[in-house]
Amino acid sequence: MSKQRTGFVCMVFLLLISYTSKAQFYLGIEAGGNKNYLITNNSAQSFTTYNSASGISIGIPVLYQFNEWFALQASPSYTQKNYQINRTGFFQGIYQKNTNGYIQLPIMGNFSFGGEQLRGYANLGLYGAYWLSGNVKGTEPNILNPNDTAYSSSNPSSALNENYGYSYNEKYTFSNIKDNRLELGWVAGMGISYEVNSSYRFFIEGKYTGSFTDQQKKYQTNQVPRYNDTFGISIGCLFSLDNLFGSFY
Amino acid sequence: MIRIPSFKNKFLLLIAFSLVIAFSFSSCRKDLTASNNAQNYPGDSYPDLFQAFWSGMNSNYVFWGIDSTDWDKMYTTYKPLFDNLKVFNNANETLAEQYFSEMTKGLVDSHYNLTFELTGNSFSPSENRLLNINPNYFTDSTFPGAVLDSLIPKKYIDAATLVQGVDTITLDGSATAFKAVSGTINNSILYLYFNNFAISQASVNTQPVFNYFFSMIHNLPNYIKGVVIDLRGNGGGEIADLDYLVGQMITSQLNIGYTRAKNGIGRLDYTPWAPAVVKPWVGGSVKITVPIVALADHLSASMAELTTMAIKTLPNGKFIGTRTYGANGPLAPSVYYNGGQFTIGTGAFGSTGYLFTYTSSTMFKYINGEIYEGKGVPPDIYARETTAAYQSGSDLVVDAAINYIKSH
Repeated sequence: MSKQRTGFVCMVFLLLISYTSKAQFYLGIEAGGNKNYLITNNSAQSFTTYNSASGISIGIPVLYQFNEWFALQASPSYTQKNYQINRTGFFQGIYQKNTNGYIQLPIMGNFSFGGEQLRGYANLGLYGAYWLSGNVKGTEPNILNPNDTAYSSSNPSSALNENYGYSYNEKYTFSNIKDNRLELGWVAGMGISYEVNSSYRFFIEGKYTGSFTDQQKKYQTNQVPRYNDTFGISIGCLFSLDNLFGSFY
Repeated sequence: MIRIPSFKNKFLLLIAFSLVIAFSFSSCRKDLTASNNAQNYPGDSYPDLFQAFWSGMNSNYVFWGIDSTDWDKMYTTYKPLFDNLKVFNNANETLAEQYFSEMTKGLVDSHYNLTFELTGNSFSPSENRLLNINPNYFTDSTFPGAVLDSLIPKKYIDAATLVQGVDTITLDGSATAFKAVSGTINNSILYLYFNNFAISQASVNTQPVFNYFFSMIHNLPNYIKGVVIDLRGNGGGEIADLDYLVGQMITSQLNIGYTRAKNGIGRLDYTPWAPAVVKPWVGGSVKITVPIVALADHLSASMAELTTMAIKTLPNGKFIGTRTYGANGPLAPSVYYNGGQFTIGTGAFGSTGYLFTYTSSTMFKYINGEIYEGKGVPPDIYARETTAAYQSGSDLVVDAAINYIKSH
């Protein structure tokens, strides 16, 4: 980042921390769904597409409200970043759904605006995530399980008609050589919150997270990178710890 | 004193801040340009052919998970050498073929073969490796051809039961002699030999051999105490023959190992291991309980090895002979598994291209967890024919099978 951009960020931060008389500490819970896209280039693979897949996200948002319009927010969460590989045409029916669970920690600035109870807000920040678990579910043509009846036919209707499909649903085995389990990226979101009373408020928000680290380690020359782009929507509730348990300050 | 921004100013501030962040982070990602499909490179220069071949191998070769070849090192070593080959001429072609061969000579895939379409030359890393270990690997024995021509049908097989024949079939586009022999030995052992797995192509001369063998299998007389399937020198062939041959001798599915293929362009992108099975043949099968012996040797490859391993897996199965060739990764057209064989240079040289790379589409792991690619399957009982034994009228491998069956 250039010096100018760094200066701009510093100025904004100074603005934010300069007005902390109404500082409050919130803790909450949120849950939602998302759609993840694996951004890569597989044009070298025939009849193969990478498609988005749905996942879930559960988090514990922690928010420190500096003033009426700005807060710092951290939302440690478990977030799935799933995707699916599908074969097409003659190979229809061959697929693999990758279900990947991440422990994610976004640190965001929370900018809010609007009335006393109903307020809009936007989040912007960075996150770090650890690729905790993986599961692969799919069907592949099993070359050593041929369809003996179809073999005599000169025109099998599909790859899975020639060889029986092997359907699997198993834990993904991580590779120390290939898999980069640490992910860094940026996050942006917008939402609406409704303050029921001074102790708690509900919110609904849409969020985008985009990784800027490759899902693979650099293990080969001319490697094509893979990035996660995740669009989520979640609902949650924040509790004001100051009002519930008394002021910390 | 710092002034609190108005709502409008805050909103503008937020947008400006977001744009800065978005601009900064979007540049953090690397270029997503894919390595082209090997077959789509124009191939109109040696550097381009090198790039096509290196990329094709990088994404299509299925054994990177177990192969010790440093493919990145091949890139840095050979790219400058190919860059120096500026024009197509005989001298440069000789060098190019030498470079491609050097790059691949350590590969574990024993099906692997390079065919240079301009000259008709070819290079097989497994042949190169085996000849380095034993210069006489392919020529030190006249067996099993001579044994089958002059020994087994004449000395071992009971004359009244002998059925044999030769047909001409097509294998990999070439006319090939397909031989088959069957009959009983000492009226107690049912014997079958054939030189390629192409039973679906058995014709007027060889079909009677298989008819006899399978008729005996389906109605096994009490006097038959064992079955011998002779796969020595058999170079493999059609996968469906596994069910057709072994599947007629079992009545329940047999798991013999696992296969896996590529599922991404990355070197280590693999599917999960899928179980490799032999199924009872759809046309009918019986459970053979007498010993079944597979005879195989150093020239038994591919389907001959898979069949040997299938028989070895049976509770009444045994493998007698010598360590096999070590080429047991099944093959299919590359489009099936996004891996395996590929051609480069079709843009510049027409449909046959400049170089055809023949390589496995899937990796095979035996039921015991061993991957025998490049190593060969070890026998349960070692036996090898010798020239002296042959000249004295004995096939030491068949003798070992007879002794084994007698003892069970």
